[in-house]
Amino acid sequence: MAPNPIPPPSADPAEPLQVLQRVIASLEALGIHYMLVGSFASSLHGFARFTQDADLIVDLFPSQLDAFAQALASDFYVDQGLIQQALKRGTSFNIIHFESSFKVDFFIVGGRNFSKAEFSRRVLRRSIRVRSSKLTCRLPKMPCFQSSIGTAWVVEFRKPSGET
Amino acid sequence: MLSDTHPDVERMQITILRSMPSWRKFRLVNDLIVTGRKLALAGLRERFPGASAEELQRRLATLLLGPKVAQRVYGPEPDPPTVR
Repeated sequence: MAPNPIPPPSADPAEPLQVLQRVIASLEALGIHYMLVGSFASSLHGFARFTQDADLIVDLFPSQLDAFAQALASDFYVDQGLIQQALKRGTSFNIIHFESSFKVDFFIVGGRNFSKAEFSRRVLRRSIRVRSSKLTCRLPKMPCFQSSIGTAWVVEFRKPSGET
Repeated sequence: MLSDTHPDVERMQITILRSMPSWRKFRLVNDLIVTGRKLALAGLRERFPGASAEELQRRLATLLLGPKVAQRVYGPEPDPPTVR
């Protein structure tokens, strides 16, 4: 997918939440399981930290790579070569929103930092409303983001009962 | 966690944050990022008074992503470089 055409950063860019919404909507549309972590997720626990990006753990398969890149390439800098490497090595990659320069980091589940077991313990936390939202989805376990604008279901790590 | 904050005050702060609805917590993080970017832009405007809005955004990208990544995504930045 590289090199991308280069739309310049905008003087009135989309806000980070909107960019995150766009990414999650694409993951949902492609059936790629994900988990939101990092500062956005920790804010739900009362720790509002300053950050410059959003972090997602994804269960991305090589067979989904083309569709994933295609879904995002019009708005994001997406380097398929780097994603392939990350998939092979179980590491991470990032994409960058052209208009806002906002970066979204993806960590491959089962890689160095995030095990399948942790991913399987992701839980539906609650719904969040972002601009023009409509609550339309009520799945019990899976993260859900119904339609391109709408309500995201936020997932987080939760330790199994008895684990300290 | 915060070295300049009394533990009782910090506990209260966390309690208040936890009592907020999820959307507001997300909005808080969003607004922190947006505010940080506005401050960085204000700094760039002072450093490069003649720069257009587009040039300032390009320079902001350098600050946010680092010169190498920003160049890969947006191409070369104008002289003089934002980061020496």
